Amino acid sequence: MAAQGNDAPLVEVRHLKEYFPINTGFFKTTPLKAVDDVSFAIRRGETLGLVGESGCGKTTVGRTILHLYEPTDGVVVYDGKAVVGPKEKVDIDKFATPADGGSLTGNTLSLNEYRTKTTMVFQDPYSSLNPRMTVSDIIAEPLDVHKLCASAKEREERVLELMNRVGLNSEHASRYAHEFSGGQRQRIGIARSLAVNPEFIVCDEPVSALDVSIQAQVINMFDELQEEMGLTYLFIAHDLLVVRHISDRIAVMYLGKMVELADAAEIYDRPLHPYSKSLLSAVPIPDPKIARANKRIPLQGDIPSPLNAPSGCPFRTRCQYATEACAATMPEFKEVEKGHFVACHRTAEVNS
Amino acid sequence: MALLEVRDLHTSFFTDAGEVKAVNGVSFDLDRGKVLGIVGESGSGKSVTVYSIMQILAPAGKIVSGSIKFDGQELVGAGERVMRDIRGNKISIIFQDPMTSLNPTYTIGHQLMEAILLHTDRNKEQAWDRAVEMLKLVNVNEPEKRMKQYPHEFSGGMRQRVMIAMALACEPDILIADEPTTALDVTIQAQILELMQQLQRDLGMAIIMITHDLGVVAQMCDEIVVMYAGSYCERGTADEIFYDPRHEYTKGLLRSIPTTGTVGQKLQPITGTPIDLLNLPKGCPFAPRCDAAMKICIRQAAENMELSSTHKASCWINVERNARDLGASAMRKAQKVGMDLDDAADIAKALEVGGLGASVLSAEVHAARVEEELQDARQQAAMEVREAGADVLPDGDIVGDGALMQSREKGNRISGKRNSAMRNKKPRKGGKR
Repeated sequence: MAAQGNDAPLVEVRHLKEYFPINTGFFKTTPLKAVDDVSFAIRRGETLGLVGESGCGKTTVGRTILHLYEPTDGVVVYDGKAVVGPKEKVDIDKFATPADGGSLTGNTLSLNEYRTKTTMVFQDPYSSLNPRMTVSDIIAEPLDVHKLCASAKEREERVLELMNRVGLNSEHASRYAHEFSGGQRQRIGIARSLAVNPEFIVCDEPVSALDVSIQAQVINMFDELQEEMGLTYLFIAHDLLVVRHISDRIAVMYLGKMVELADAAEIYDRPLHPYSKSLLSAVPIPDPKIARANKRIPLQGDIPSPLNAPSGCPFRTRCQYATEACAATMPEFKEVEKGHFVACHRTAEVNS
Repeated sequence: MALLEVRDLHTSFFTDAGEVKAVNGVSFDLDRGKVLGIVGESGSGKSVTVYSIMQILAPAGKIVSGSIKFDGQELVGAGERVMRDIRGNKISIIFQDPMTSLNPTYTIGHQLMEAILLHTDRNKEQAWDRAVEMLKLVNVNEPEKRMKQYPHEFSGGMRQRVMIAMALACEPDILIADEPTTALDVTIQAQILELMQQLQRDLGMAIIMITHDLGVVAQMCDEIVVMYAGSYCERGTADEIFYDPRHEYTKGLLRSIPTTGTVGQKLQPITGTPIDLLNLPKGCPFAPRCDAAMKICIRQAAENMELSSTHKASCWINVERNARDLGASAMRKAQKVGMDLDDAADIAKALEVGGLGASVLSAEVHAARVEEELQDARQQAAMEVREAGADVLPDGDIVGDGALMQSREKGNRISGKRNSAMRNKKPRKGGKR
């Protein structure tokens, strides 16, 4: 689906950093740079796909955007307003642009308000639902937390409406999560995330745990909900065919850094970063003739530990084009063509 | 003779809730040096099938009937002693989750040497050398150092390599890979698959590859078995399954996966949820979710139909297709004898509807009857033509492709509106006699 509406971003992430302290010795902690200086914007009504290997920080990006983790540094600007948690100490003015009038202070959004506009769908439909709660209580929990329903009757009606919307039967309301299959559980999770009438949903691997036939049902439902409710998605997944299907634009992450961002078709047809090239060539295509002819660009070794990330470009240790410059400095994440961002010193040479 | 012959395998789990028929009549052959893929959703019985081959089922599981022949030797009921010689030696298995299938309390070297010491007459030193050699084979760097390390010091991809090294240490004839790359990232998955392909070529072993990822199957497999609810739906070469699927479930699976061609379109999911194995229906297990389900699908499970020497499917839709072909050929014959096209179409339709409503047998009877009618009609027409003073009809095929196409199209339309056609079946007009 094409991005609708104007080009003004709904969610803007500026220089987001998320470091986790790891105990590496007696009284000694080392920061694990799960997300290291990531910036991007998501337009209203679009789906941004976020891909990368496990451990690259894609889930952390999703969670930090929603302030489920307090950002170490950087700011999330939602609909022109900086999101600030009650105890956060990040100097948000540092990230203000001329478009914000040079300052973000006084133009902020409280976390409570932010969370009535943004929600999350989790990966694992088995562990993300409380086994002691009935389906109706699970779905109504956001309504209770934000006090969005005046009466018990309104609450019940809302729950049934949500269940109906995601294709669950109303008689399921009083059952418990264990009585449902994976696909149905994921529907419950989606209903819960829709309860506050959000504008923006972070979908963290929402179909990875589902069977192929069920996966298609859930993907279609995401599509339909977006059309009906004008939702904006950040769609995190490692299945590149699924991401390609659902996304308008796709971002590729490697070891806490964003390495490429472009239109979905563009990044599939003409990836510019050597990592994206390799990643995309490794996707098994469900067509024997294409699969047999497919030339994979091999990638040696494993992803390095983020505790001990290489200097400069994080990908250089596995990159066949790496030079000394790559070890010295981290390449800038810049727009090389309209709408196509790449972080690579050697974009020109790699693609000549 | 095939290296592995599985015939009509039935495996059940006897639980408190009742008998769970996890595998329901699966048959396949595996030749030396071939890669067989078993595809299906979770709960379709693919893992239980191979666990039955290895006889490593959970205590509640039992092979109820069927035969598994390895190199001519019957394994069902062969006893633990025989199986111990087969497992890890002649047939090895790699499990899905590399994180839990290695013992965390022993070194990698100890675990690698275990199989070698058990199945060969190498001493400890030779076993160590062999283990190092195996690690080298699967591209593990610094194998000597790695031998002394514990599983937690390995990444997921590395552990899966160790599992492969362990499985290959005794040069098995068959390697069973149960979702070997599901827990891995795509780049690592590609490395592992390539490694398996290369080793398969070099060592000439056969591989049974279990997966739900159709992309992996397309890349790796020569032959594919598609399973649903413990029964097998379809079996054929990779090209046959992907380009000419003949079971509605296979078709549904292929339609439901996103490809570059589906961008901007809705996916076509299979509706409903997988079936409860405790209460298998009488008919085809897929019928409740099948858009093309016919009355017969609910009454009776389709037997295995041979479509070519390599391609088999258990789906009534092929009978329909068969009937449609018969109908088309009947029409062609009718055309030949100068029968009115509409009348011929009616016969063809009746043939199809009859074929669907009843069974294969009645379709054949029907076909024969129509054939007889056509014979009569032909003689009649020939007589008429003679009486009219013209020459006898030329024996060559006078109907062009156009008429055939038309009849096919008609057949398609009919099958689309099958139910209404069945309700409003017109009384059949007689041909020109």
